[in-house]
Amino acid sequence: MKYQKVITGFQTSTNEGLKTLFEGYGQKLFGFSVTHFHIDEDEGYDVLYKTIETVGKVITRYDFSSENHFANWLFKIHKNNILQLLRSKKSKEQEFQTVDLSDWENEVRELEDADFKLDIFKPVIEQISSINPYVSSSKNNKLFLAMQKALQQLSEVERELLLLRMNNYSYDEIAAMLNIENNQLKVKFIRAKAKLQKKTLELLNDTYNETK
Amino acid sequence: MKQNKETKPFENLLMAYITKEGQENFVSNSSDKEAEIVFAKQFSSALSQERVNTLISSLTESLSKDTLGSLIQNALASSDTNISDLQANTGLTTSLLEDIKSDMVFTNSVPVKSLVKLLKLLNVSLEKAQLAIDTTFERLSAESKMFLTIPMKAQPSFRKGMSNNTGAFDMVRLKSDESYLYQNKEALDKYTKRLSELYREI
Repeated sequence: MKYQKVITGFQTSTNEGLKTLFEGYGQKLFGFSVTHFHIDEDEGYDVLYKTIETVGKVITRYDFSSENHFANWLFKIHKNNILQLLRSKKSKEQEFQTVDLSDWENEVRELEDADFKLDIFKPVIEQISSINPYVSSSKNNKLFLAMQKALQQLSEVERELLLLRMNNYSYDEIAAMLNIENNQLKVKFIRAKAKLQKKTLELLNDTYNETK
Repeated sequence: MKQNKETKPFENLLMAYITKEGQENFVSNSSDKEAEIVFAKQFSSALSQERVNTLISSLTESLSKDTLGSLIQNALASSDTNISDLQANTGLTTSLLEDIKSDMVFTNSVPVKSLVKLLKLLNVSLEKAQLAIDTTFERLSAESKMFLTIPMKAQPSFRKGMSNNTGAFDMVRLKSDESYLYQNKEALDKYTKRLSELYREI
């Protein structure tokens, strides 16, 4: 069990524990952050530093039931740190990537859903396109509330597929995680996204019309 | 984060939703399998050995700082003071003293006069104590943050002997009240200020 060696290492000395932890898991965690979230090497280093630091601070106080339990815990800490970095980085971007209706139209075209007409959502799209979604604001709260409600209307597999694909896992990896066949998962992803997008915009549109 | 050459506005919004602070409603149920796949995967990016060495040495230095618990334990080991005398003179209960030694309690939960007496009796300098109190605070904050952000089933359990039954380090309270994290630094600063005053007076 790798994790037991890590705990024994930390019980021997901090340096020993850190070395064992890095040897067992460090490069994989670094590779994951850089590859899946497109952050640069320095950012990947910082995130890994934070993860290992958190683990080093607390590890000798805890027991784990298995290697999987430890790996899952470690991975969760790391992923939270990556998401925190992204949130912080994107919220500081003064000029976030500006989008206009044509970008939305291009994205919707890819969905190949003839019933999905963007025109009726134009006022809502203009509103949500004018603010950085990573910055805390009442407009964003409305958007995220609508997105949350829309997600609840999807099936569990659809939600998982969206989340995992957004984390840049391959369709084969997603199929393995969800214990399903990779049978047209790409098509299913596009359909799930279309469903979510349409429901989110409809909910936002209702809110917009109510407040008019 | 899924990225494409062309701008995909809705995917951008979805990513913002996924990274949102306190996000609990959109966490994959397959996260244990996620970890399994990631740790079995080969990545082309790797940290150079030079950066690995820097990371390890920097973290070794940072994590080797004394906490209040380790400072008290070391002072006790090199002192002739009897534990029961120590308790009688400081007013600290057995369980609270154990919690201090094992860093199971936020320092500002310890009666300030009792801590001052403990430091004096063990000949621990104020400067060392202040640094160690900050380190203990950082560690407990990291720990409570970890409990707040990680789903229950992935959380580890306390090692036997690390906690007592007094509930001095109340995980339930930490988990249910996130604001506790942010209020506490201010409370700790006030506490250490009072500690310094009393240390010089007593």
